[in-house]
Amino acid sequence: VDASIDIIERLPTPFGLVRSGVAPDHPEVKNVEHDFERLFEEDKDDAGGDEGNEGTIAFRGNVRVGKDVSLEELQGLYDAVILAYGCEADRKLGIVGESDLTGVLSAREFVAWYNGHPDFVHIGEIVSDILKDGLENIHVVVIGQGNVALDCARVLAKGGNGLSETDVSSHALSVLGEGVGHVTVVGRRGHVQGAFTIKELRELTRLQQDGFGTRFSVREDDLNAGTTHSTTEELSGPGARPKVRIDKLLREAAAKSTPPEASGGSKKEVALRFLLRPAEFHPSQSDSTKIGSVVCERTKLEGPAGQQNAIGTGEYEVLPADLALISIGYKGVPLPGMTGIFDERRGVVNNIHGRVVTNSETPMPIKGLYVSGWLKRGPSGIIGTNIPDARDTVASIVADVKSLLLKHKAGANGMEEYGRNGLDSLLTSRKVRAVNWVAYQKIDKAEKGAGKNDGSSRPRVKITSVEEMMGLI
Amino acid sequence: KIVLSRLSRTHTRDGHRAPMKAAVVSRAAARSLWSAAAAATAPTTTRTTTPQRTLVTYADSRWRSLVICPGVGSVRWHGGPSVPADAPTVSVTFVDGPERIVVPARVGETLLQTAHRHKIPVEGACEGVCACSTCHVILPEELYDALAGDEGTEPTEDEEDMLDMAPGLTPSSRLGCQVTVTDKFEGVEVTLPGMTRNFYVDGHVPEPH
Repeated sequence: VDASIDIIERLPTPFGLVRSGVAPDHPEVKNVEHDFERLFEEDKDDAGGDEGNEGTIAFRGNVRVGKDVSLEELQGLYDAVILAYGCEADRKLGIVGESDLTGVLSAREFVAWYNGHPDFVHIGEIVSDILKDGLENIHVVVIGQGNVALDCARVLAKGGNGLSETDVSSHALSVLGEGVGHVTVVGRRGHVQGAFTIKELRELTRLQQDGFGTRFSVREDDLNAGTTHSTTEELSGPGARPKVRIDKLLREAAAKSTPPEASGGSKKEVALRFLLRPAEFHPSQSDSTKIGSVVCERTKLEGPAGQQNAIGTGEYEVLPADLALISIGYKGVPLPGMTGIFDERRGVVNNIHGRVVTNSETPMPIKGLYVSGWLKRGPSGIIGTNIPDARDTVASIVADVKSLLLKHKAGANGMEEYGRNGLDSLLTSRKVRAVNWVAYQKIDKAEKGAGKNDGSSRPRVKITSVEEMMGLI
Repeated sequence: KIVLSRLSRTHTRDGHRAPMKAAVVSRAAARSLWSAAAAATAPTTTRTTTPQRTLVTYADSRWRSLVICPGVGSVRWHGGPSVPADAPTVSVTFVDGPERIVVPARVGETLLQTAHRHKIPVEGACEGVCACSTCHVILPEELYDALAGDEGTEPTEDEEDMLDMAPGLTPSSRLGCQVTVTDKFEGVEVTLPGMTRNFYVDGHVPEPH
């Protein structure tokens, strides 16, 4: 079966979270982009053609589904539509002060800001206002225990100075300066239940020896309080290896924790705290519109292994906070016009092995509509997790190929042109300037070149305005 | 350009349905392979042997479809030494489910480089710099122990950290990008974890609509 695949993206630049989520000091994780680039560059139609020689897979950036073209129209134009737009909203804590105090942000916004995402440039105003009076005395509380929370802590501690040779956005370089003095990462459960992976944890424990002048601290009390009978079971079951190694790493770090006075001039600290659940955000004494502290309730773990819950103990601890980053999970959103297939509670599109099905009691598959990635299974896992996930969805598509082609042949859509040509005609008629691969290359080259030209060793200087990107094409 | 690693069957003679996987890599490739497959009657098998590997192809007359698995594309040398083509080689067998692919591995290159050079479906998303777990391979226990017993070849802390995230981890698992082929690898079998082969971890086979 000959296939033609078009990848539609809202931004002019492709690659999603690999560009705007992966931390700037993890460039090796971004190597996977080369895999993606090959998709567009290999297999150009030898027959040529004047549209810049596109092959099986084409890129169409700067196209907003729901605005420039509707999902329904796409379903009419293509045999199969795969929803793979991830999760761009946040899970909320739902506590006092979360939505009205300045300085309470989602980690997702903060990460998108320092990674130069064009839609989050405004976050810089909030952050720079908070940090303007001196970074040393700044307290940041990061709520959550996944890799995103650890990334935020590490980036805040390293600061612009520690990230000067990365592709971190220019605006973050200046605002983050030498790094903030105090970062506390809090989670309501114990260290064994944390979603983080050991590589990111180890990085935090090594900040001092790697020259970033930041002490790492974790309390033995916290570790012991989380080591319930069920936790011990979790540390001995099959698949316990990652947890066992994390437990070992943190216990060693707790034993090594040196008091501030003794740590030879490191003025900054990153602390991991466990069994603390944020109860309220309180305003600052000097400015009641800004956050001043996070009131946390001490918790204890109850429940069977693998299903322990954090139960409040009635004891509270107040953590000073000039900035609070909430990192408890991303959440998917429905596209405009999407009815009957989106699960609001979980924030995913209903599906069975990637085939989109309705929300009804007896789920009915929607012919030709598929979903893949975080939007399919929820916002968890690493880049590699999406490989078997994608294979799962593609297997469903391949099994359906026969019936999908019948739909195509029947001309059910009533459109004049089909597939890529049909999309391009539609976009042109609506005066939408889609960015194809060749055009994106101009943005890519400009960003890479800017790093060379300004004398820095930055591998890329990201363009943070869509207008500026489109101006290059 | 044809880039493919393995074709998979929809039906065997005994009626067992194997997991399917597919994507078309190029129209030209698809056309030529389609006609090759259509020429074969079904359910039947044809075997073609290249100097390096055996391609197993099946065609199902009921489906009249040829399912092609994408290969890993062009070879990437990012992580790992550049070992010249005239280097001494040892015979290494990659075991991928029922398939056994015997290849000449160059002494001095990494197992990931060997796999990519011979189009064995090992991912290598980070391009061999120990920043992911997609090149996870399973070594024979004796070889694993021999490597682990030597400071120069034992897994580093960084590799162990990455292995923590590999699905289907075994006691003799390593990252292919961190294992260097030596003359002691002659006749060694390197097994790919189940995840690389099956779409569905639970063995589910999708029913066509």
